[in-house]
Amino acid sequence: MKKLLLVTYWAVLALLLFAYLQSGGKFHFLFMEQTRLFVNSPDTLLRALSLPSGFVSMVSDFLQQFFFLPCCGAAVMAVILVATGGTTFLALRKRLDSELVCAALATVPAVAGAFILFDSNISCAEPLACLALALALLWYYSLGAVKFKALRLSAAAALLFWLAGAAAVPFAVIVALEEICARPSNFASLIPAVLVGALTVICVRAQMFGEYRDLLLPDNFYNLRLHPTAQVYIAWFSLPAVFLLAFASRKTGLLKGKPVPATVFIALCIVGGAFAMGSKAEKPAFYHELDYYARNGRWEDLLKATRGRNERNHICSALKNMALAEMGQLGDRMFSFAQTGAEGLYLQWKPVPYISILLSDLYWSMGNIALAQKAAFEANVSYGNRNPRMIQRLIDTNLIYGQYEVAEKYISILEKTWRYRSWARGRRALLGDDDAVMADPLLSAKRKCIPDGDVLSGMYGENPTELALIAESNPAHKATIEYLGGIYLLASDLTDFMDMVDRYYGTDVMPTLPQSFQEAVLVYAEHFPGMEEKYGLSSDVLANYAAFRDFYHKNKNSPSLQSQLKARFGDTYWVYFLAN
Amino acid sequence: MKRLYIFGLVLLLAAGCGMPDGNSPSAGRGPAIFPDYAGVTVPANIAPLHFSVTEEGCDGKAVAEFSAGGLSVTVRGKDGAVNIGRRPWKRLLEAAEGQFISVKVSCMKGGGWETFEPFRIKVSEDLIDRYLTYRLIEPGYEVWNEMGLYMRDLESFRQTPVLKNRSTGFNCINCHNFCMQDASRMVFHMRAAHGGTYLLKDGDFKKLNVKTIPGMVYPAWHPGGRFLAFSLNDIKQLFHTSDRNRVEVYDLESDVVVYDSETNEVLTCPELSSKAVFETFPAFSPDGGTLYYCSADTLAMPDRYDEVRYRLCSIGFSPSDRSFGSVDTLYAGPGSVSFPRVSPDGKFMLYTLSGYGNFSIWHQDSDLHMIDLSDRSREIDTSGLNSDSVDSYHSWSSTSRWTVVSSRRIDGLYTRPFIAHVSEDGTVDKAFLLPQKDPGMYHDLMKSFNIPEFTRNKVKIKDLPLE
Repeated sequence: MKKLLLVTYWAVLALLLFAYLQSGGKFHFLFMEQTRLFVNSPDTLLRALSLPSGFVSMVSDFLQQFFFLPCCGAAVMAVILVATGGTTFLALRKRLDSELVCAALATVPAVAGAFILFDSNISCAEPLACLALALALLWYYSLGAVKFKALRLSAAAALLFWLAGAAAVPFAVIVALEEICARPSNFASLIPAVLVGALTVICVRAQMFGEYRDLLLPDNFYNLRLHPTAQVYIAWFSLPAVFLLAFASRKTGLLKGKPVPATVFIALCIVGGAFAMGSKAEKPAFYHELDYYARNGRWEDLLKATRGRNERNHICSALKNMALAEMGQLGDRMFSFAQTGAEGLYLQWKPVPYISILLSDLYWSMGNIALAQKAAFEANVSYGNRNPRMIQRLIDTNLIYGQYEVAEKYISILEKTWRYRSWARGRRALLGDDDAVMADPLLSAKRKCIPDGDVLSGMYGENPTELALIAESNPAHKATIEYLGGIYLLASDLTDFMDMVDRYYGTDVMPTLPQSFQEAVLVYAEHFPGMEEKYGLSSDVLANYAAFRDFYHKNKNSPSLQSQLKARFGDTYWVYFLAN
Repeated sequence: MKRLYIFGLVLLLAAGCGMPDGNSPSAGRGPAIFPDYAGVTVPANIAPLHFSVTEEGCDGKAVAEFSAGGLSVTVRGKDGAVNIGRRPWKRLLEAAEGQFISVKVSCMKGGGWETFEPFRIKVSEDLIDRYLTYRLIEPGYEVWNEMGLYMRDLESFRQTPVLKNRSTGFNCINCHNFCMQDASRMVFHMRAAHGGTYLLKDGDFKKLNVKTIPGMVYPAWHPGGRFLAFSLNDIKQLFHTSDRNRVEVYDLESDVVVYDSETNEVLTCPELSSKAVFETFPAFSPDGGTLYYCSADTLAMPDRYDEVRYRLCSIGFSPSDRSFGSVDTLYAGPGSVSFPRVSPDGKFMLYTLSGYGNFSIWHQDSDLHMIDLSDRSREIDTSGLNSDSVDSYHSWSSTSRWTVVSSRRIDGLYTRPFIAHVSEDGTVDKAFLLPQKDPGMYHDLMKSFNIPEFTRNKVKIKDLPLE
């Protein structure tokens, strides 16, 4: 009965953790799949296993490749956390009498581990290392009095060091504490700790790791360029802490005979700690959700998700505009959303991985293949050459440029993955075959965007010159000319905008004017009455502009003019122009 | 009957798993292998040349028969990989010193063996410096992640880290250079965290005060070890929209200076620091009396980026009184010169030539050229070093008999080190790709081998004065 109760308890905890992780981290786990491409080759595996903690990193990467499946990330992590809790419970049972107290204590690391998983800088190897530590301690507490105990413990510490890196440190400390307290003259029990220390020094001296903290603390499971947050350390140390508490209780009787108050106290600690950690932990970034829609071409979902959210954010704005461009509606609907200026259309470069991804997508939408390739390369480098989508982009851009040798290099890498193998094989069929590339609708459309003449990007100011060349090179690539016009409109540069319209209106590049462009022409025509007649403006736009002018003149002295205009004409260029 | 079937099956398997015999049909040509080691010249102390048979239709089984001086070694290959053991390879090298190793390759195609014409590997008696130090970094633009300096033991496959940026705050480590292939005298820069120029001399590291010498880029040791020449470059980059050279790296300004490590002073002269001229890529002659460098007339950049042509120049340098002499122009086109490097015996000058500009690593037309310094009018054939793709950075071994070049010939983007023999009379043999335990690593590795430099001894970095 007791056993059934315990199984039920851990099962319920697993469900609760799954629900928490899935509700808060649905898109986070989908994003994580994009950060650690698992290349299934003996060489990769051997390289991973040649480093301390390489084993947990490899298992983590292996599991992470399936996180693209719905609910998989949350389910896998919930299982690992509960396995850690369950193993901790079994280990504690070897030292404490009360199952209630053991279960309460064992819940602490499981719950604390869940609250750091939304931090995209933490690797899924961290909970695996905790599980390895719990398993090692369970083995230790089951060991009893055996021959060559110090030798066995040293071997276990060395093995744990190799499999799970920093997990060997608390293991060696707990073992030393237990053994010395049991027999103070047993100095041999310090050997595991000394061994772990020596291995750490050797690994750092051999430059396998950069700093001692990478092997003494959970830092190796965090973005190596950053220092882990306090929450990460709390979660990491919660596991050895419960064992140390159990140890202290056994020595002092701290929890003995008081299972209920002790459990209530621990439960309160968990709730309080969870609240504190959960509130400070990085929430699943909104960006992960938008990135998911963008990489899957779910443009309507992207627009829906951004409606009314983060309206002053350039990244959000750039994604919305990209969605419209991909749907062929940028020129018509760009002012149906709040715009943040030219930078919300054409982001400034920053050495930040997800900005590089976004820029690659933006340039790809614009038809600027050279810069899409450059940004994809930099994004992939930032993710340690393990971002599958950016590798796909590198394959496509190299196929577009006819640089088949390097395209093949990337293809052969994706062919060694489970998820992207068939896609890569499809691309392999295009290698060295220009006709096959031109028969592919996407690649041929983008290849036509390569201008006949070469220019250096940014040589003559920002993007406009290049976009004009791309638009002339491939008039059918509607997004290019709409981006070009959009840049002028958001910069309120109507002179250059009208130059562009005069140059391209009525040509293949711009046979008709999209709605926002028509609205801008009317603004410009305020100074040149009658000129609007030659641009074939729609009667709806003309009527709406008449209403706008009328409303404006009637209410121009109203203190709430801006908000009234926004309410009635907020989806037009006129309101943006007046405000900027 | 059943036994007969089994016997037949065993026979079939034996045939399939067996070796090619003299009756195997001949392809009448050499095999397709990667790396291409056919006709190369290697030193007698090089690591085994592992290769893969890349013949179309080959089902993975391959056999290679290596023979030299009456010694024959047969290697069976799995998955096309022909990996000869270190000991038999060493015996072959000893047997073939000054002569050739012949390699006959057969591979299984459609259930039968096909044998190819043997190819030859020349084994030179000229030994190569044991170590090659390079930086492993992605061929990127503005962003880097993990990078490091690594040292490869050329007599084995062992590569050891010299300095990884994991230990230095993920900064940028670049432009390492040694004094006459001596690893105990080294210089390199670090950018971002711990930024500065670090000088290893007499076992001690010294960080130069970069505030007084801003923008130091390409270094060159004076053979005496006291002086170092540096170029000072204001470097920019832009990206091509359709040119096959993806990126254009150019200088807005550049000068050359000489740093005196004893007095911590910087020396220059009007010829090396003229505003009317871009001066860059310094290199001292082995006797220390001449400083070579590249110079181009200053043009409006970036508008006229493709009109800049660098000449190969030299200027006298007297270490005793720290004075400069007169300028001599060794080469002034056609094309644009970069990376002049004089062989340690002082006989040859190897340099990179591309259509324009100075950042030849991004120019697909870059090739290596060589000047006989005792007879400048003599044309030296360097085709053994070059390819259709980028062939750019290079350095000499201490004996002057070997040179290593960074080339993008494998895939057009990632640079790989190719080593070529240069005989005393200047004959350049076909270059070979640095051997690896698994040559497939060149396809998998997403980093370039940047700035390969030979050293006679091990590079040791400890007690780096990081702040």
